[in-house]
Amino acid sequence: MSTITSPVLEDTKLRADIDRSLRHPVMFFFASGAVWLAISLLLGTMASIKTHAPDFMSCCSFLNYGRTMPAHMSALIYGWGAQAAFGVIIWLMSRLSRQECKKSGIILAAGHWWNLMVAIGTVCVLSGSGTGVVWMAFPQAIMISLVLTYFFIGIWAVIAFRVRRGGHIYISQWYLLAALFWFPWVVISGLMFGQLFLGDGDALMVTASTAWFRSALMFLFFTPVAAASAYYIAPKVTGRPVYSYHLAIFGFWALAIVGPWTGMDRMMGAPIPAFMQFLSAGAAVLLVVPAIALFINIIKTAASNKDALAHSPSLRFTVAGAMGMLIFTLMGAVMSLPSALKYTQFSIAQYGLELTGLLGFFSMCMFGAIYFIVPRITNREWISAKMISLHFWLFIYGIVFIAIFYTFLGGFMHGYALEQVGESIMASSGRLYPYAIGLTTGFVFLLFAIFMFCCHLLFMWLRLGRRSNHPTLLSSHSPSMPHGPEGDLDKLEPMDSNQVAH
Amino acid sequence: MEANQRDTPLRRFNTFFWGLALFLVFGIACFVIKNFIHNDAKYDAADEAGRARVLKREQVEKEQSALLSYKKEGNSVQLPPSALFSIAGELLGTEPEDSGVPHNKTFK
Repeated sequence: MSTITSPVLEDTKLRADIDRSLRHPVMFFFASGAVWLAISLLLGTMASIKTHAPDFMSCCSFLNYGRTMPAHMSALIYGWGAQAAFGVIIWLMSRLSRQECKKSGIILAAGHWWNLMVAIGTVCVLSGSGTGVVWMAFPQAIMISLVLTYFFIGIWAVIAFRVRRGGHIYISQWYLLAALFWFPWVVISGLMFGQLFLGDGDALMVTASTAWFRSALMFLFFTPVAAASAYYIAPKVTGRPVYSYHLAIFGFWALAIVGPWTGMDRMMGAPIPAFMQFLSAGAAVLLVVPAIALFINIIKTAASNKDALAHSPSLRFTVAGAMGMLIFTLMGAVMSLPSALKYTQFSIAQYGLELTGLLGFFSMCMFGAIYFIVPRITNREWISAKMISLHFWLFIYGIVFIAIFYTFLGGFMHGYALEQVGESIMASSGRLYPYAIGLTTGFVFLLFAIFMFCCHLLFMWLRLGRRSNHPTLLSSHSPSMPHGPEGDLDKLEPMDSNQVAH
Repeated sequence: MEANQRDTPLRRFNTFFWGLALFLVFGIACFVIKNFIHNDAKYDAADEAGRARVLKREQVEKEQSALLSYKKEGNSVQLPPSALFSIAGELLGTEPEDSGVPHNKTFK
C-alpha cells in the first residue's frame, strides 16, 4: 500500500469540506428536480393518452390537453432541467475551483423559492392562467421571479470561479461559466421580447421570440451544463485525461458561435426576413460539429478504460448522453433542411425532438452526474445496482421509442398527412394513431424508470444508503474487482491515494 | 496547502456586484434596443390590405357612376338611378292592378 502524502491528504480534506458545504443545496436541487421530473412525465403521459383516447380523464377540466401539455413542458424545463443543472453547476464549479461554498444557506433558500414559484406556475397553467407561450407558459410574474431567484443561485458559482485555486481552467469550467452567463441572457431576452414589450400581444413576434428562446435555452444552457458534466465524469471515472483537449475547446467555441443562431428555421415561410430562417437552418446543421467533438472525446476517453465503462453507472449514463447529443443534433439537422421542413415544421416532430434533447441527451448526462455526486455529498453509496440498471435500460427504451417511433417516423408521417389536401383532417389525424400509442408507451417506460430513480434518490437523501467503501457498480463485487473485497465503512483501513482519487 | 492569493473579500464583493450589474445590463440592453434602436413603425398587413380594398371600391364606384349618368341614345334615355327614386316610390305606394298581360303558360 502506498503511503499518503500530505498534499494528497490536504486535497482529500478540502474536497470533503467542499462536499459538506454543498450537501444540503445540491441534494435539495437533485431531489426536488427528480420529483418534478416524475410530475412532468405523469402530465406528459396524460397529454399523450389524450391524443389517442380523448375521453381519458375528461371528468377533470383542468386536465385537458391544452393545460396538461404546457404544464408538462414547464415542469420538465424549470422543475427538473433547471434544478438538475443548478445542482451540477454549483457542485462542479466549487470542486474544480477548489473552493468551499460559504453561502449554501442562501442557495438553499433560493432553491426553496424556485420550487415554490414552479409549483405556483404549474397550478396557474393547470387552472387556465398560463400565458400559452411554449416553454414560457408560466405567468409573467412567475417568470420574472424565477430569473431573479436564479441570480442568487448562480452568482456563488461565478464567485467560486473568480477566487479559484490554481491557474488551470478546465474545459468543464469553460462550459459552466458560459452557461451561467448565457442563461440570464436567453431568459431575459426571451421574456422581454416575447412577452413584456408586447402589451396586447403580437402573434408573430411572440412566435419568433419563442422559437429562438427554445433553441437558445437548449443549446446555450442545457447543452453546456451537460457537456461540462460529461467532460468531468469521463476522465474522473476512467482515471485517464480527456482524449483531446484541443478538440474539446474547438467544440466549445463551435457551440458558442453556432448556438445563438438556431431556432428561426421553425419560422420558415413566416413574414420575417428570409435570411434569418435559412441562417438558422444552416446553424442547426452546423451544430453537428460540436456534438461530434463531444462524442469523440467522451467515447475515446471512456474506451480507454473498458472496465470502468462496463461497471460505472455514472460513466454509462454519460456515454449514453454523449450518444444522445449526437443523435439529437443529427435529427435536428435533418429536420431543419428546407426540403424536410415541409413535413416537420408543423408536425409532432418538433415536440419529439425537444423530448429527445431534454431527456435523451441532457437528462442522461445529469443522471450520470447525480450518480457520481450524491454518494460524495451524503457519504453513502447507492443502495441497489439493480435499480440503477433498471433505471438506465427503462429510460433508454423509453427515449428510443420516442426518438425513432414518434419523432422521426411519426413526425414525417404527420407532415405527409397534413400535406394531403384532398384528405379530411380526421383521416390525416387517424394516420397518427399508432405513433401516439408509441409515445404513450415510451412515456410509460420513462415513468417506471423515474419511479426507480426517485425512490433511490429519496432514500439517499434520507441517508439510508449503504455505508460501504465500495461504489455501487453495475456488476457483482468480487475480490478481483479493482475496489477489492466488500467491506464496511466502519471497518475501513486507511485508504490509498488511488481510492481517494474522486 | 498554500494560501490562495485570489480569495479576498474585495474580489468576492466585486464579483457579486459585477454579476448583478451584468444581470441588469441584459435587461437594460433589451429596453434600449426596443425603445431607441428598434424601428417601431408597425406594418400591419390587415391595414395594408384594407387600404387597397378602399381604393378599389372608390375606383369601382367612380366608374359605375360614370356609366349610370344621364345618357340619350336614339329614343331611349338613361337616367341616373337617383332620378327614378321618386317615381319608384310612387309606384310602390299604389294598389296593384291587373296589367292585362297574361302570366300563365297555358293562356291561349
